[in-house]
Amino acid sequence: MKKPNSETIERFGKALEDVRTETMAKVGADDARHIRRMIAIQRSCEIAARILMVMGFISPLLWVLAVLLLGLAKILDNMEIGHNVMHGQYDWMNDPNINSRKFEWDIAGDAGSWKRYHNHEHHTYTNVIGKDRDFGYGTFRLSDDLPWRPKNRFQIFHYLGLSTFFEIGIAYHEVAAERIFMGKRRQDSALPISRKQLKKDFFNKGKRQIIKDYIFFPLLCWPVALQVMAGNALANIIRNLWTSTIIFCGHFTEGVHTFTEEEIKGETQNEWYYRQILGSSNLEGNKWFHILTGHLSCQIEHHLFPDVPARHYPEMAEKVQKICLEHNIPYNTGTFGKQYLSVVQRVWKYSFPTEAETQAVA
Amino acid sequence: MKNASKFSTFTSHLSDRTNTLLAPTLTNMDSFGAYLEPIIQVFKPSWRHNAISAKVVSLRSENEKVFTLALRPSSKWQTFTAGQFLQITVERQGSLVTRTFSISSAPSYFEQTGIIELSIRILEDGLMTPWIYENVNAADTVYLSQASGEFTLCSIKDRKLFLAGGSGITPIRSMLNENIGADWFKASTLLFYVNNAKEALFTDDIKRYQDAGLNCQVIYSDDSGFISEQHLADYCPDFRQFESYVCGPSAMIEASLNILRESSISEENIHFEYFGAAPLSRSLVDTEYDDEMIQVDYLSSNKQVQFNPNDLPQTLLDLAEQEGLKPVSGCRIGVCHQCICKKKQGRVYNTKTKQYSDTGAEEIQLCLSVPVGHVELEL
Repeated sequence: MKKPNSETIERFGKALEDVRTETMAKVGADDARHIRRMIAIQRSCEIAARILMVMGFISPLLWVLAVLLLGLAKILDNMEIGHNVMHGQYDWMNDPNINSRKFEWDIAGDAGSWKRYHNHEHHTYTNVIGKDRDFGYGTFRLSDDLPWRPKNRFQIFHYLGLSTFFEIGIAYHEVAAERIFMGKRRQDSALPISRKQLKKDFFNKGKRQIIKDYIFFPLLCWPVALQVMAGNALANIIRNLWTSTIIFCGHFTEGVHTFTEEEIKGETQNEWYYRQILGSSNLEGNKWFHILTGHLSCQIEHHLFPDVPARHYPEMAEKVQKICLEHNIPYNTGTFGKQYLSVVQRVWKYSFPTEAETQAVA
Repeated sequence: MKNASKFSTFTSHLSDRTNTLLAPTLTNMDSFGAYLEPIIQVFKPSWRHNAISAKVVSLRSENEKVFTLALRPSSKWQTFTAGQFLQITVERQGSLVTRTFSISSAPSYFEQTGIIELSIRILEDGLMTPWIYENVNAADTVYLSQASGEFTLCSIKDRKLFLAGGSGITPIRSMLNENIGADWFKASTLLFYVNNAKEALFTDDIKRYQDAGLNCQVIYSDDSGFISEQHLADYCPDFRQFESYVCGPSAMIEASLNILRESSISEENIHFEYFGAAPLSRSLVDTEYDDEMIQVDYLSSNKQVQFNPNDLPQTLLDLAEQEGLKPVSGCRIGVCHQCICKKKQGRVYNTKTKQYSDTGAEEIQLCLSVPVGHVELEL
């Protein structure tokens, strides 16, 4: 696909800025009410789940209900609440608890670490090979930018494993990038905290989550400790599968583009907008589907406007899609089923070497 | 008895420990109260963990530009000394905004009625004061801090000279209402500067003070000019023997202080309060800058900003906001401590304490801190 000329890109960027300004003018009391309500629902689900989890001896169905409720609470906490609050979408509320500096989520990864690599690295260098470690997480081959290696043959299984234990991947992401425990120390590290602190935060957060889900609540309900432990583990896995699936759908669908470091040298704000659109893909669905994905179903809008309160994304998406159409810029959207299938196909396709590579080996 | 009190200390200690140890592990929040807050708000929207709420009793106009907000604080609010201020937080379009105001009513009035009054000047281009005037109604809930401030009566023996400019009368009204008819009251003087008759304020109160023996002079500065030595000589010839209390706009305070100091009144007999931190001006930050441009690094957000301090010194909070960052902030005058941030290194000038910081790491208030060299912030 040919890149539009600079004049088109400029008009395109300007149109997007207008969408942002229009939306920001609407941000206010309704958004505050929305996020507070989401937190109230999430915490009610969590409290109900912790209580029901013990009731398994009355009927196993109650235990199943508890697992689902706890999974739901964790999904809401991580996606619609944590992810969005930590992007600073609600910082204007000046609330002592609901702000990007303070918020900590119900997941193994430390919030501070996530904010560093996700908000900065991933959102600035989206899909730039070698810069954005979120593209393939340093383990998957999802484009021809990386040469094929024999281990890629099994990456579909690796993918299933990562999805199941996704929270550990998130927790370990920055620690791995900085080679804290193994590997050769990174030369160009821009880590703003000490390596010691990073290690400490990593263990502290992990410890907290383990104490909560696998020690404190099971011990509190001693006679049914195993049942509670298993239920909590299952809820964590449900959350892991869901978040991983949604996130893979945001950047690894069929039509998503990648970029080289060379391409983004001297990039303007408008070109950055253009790259965000090519590097992301959307999912279509109803209001509650959007909420459960933390509005990452509107990954394109999220990447264009990461600090606009996410409940506005579906409305913005209509305008953005129209602008893309007018400027002849591709806009990648589809149903969940269609997009997810293309993710699996992509993981599968790049498990194998390109034809050139096959011939070279032969 | 002793054991009982020991036990209650023990249990309160235990509940504190539970909160600090268990709450972060189980809820990822500082306390269980903060965790439950959004659920409680479903039933009681104005409930906030750890906040002191107050019901608005009434809002009345004093003149075109000044209004008085009467509030009934909840039992968590302790009390105050005449002359002190507090911070009031209101929810404005979903956002919690905090401002500082002096209490204009007397502590004895609070003891009798449970009501305190704040008298607020509407700033034309202000973000908050016009909004409060238009939108806050009786029975609304607002949030308060405890009272604080050092601008209070020091001794009750000396004769006192009160110099008030415009809405700077508010803490002085509190002091006078509290002590109306006291011995020193009858021997004291109030010079109250307002621009003109239209902006006159608390005329009923002034009348009462006069009847109770206070020497009151309301001076229209549109006609008679700002404060001068002549005014003092005319209305309070013995002012050198008086203890002075000054409150008003910063220019008025500075002019008053100059006159009082030149009349060789000792510092301990001069009390004054700026409404907020002293204004920012080039002359305030009394430094020769080595560098033409000063750079501030916001480490966590990976942004940096450069500015020319010789144009106009700027606070780190203003600079951060211009850069598109949104640090939590409140009163913006150094009282509420919400904008505290860790400085990794660099020197800053504190506009309130008028002191320069060390170069090392420390917590600073962004709204008061002006960088005087390269500064690195954890923001």
